[in-house]
Amino acid sequence: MQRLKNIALFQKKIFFTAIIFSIVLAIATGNLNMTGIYYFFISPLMHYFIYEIRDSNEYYYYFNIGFDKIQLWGSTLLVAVLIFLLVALL
Amino acid sequence: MKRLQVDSIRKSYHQKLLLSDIYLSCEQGEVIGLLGRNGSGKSTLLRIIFGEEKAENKFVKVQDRIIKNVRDSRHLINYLPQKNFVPGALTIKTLISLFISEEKRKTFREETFIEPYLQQKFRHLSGGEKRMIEIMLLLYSEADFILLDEPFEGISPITKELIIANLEKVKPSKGYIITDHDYENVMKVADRILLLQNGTLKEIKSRKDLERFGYVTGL
Repeated sequence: MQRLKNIALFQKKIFFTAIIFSIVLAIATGNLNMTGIYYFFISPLMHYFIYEIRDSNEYYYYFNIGFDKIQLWGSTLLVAVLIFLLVALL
Repeated sequence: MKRLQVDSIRKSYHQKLLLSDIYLSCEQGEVIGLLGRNGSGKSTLLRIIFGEEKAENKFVKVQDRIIKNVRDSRHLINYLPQKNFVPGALTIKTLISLFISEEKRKTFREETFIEPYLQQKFRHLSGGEKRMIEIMLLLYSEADFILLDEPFEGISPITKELIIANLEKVKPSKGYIITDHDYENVMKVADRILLLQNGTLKEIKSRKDLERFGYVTGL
């Protein structure tokens, strides 16, 4: 449970910025159904910007809990797929 | 008693040999002080042991488990980097529930110096307070071995004493490798001192040895 909460903490930063960008982009292009696709592409970019560039030292927090970068990137891709599917089903 | 074994570490940067066949071992209840000049490779060595940094050759083992990456070091080795690593938006109370195991949480929260900070966000603390909280988190973590990279950097003397006192308190259950330029405090807390120079480790017995190897002047 603690590990899941920590993954949620990691994803929270990516989610809020990526979803805002995706919705804004969808509104700008006039097609809200594209939100999921935009999120799928924007969230990895946000992951890269937030954790690889801006707050790169925060990786050590997750390393100390036992996550490695592959798992953290995997969680970003997993959430992206889930959001994509969720929007597609709506 | 658990043992951290580090052997045959070899690392080069831009064709310059930084670490050459490094060997060291650390047992639970032991504190190793790692000294060395700027750029001598101390942080690199700690990151290699932790499993984060790759090396041309390395062998790191805790008991029967070989550490190849950070996933392997889970519950075995934790690392304090030079810069703050805790997400700033968290309150200390939340941080404790996310980082510390359930069994140790109550004891940790009741520590007199932690209590006043519980409701505060990590990002609102001063540099010294942040460092102290991070060190305490690692001291109370599940890991058997803790690698502390410059724990005394930017810390007031009284906070240093507090950190050393807490380190002594949990010392029997963990092994530590500490590197810091505050060599006097490192020497005070460490059972063994090693000096990293020209890619190799040298055993230091006294301040005289540090002078002999040119780490400090004889003044």
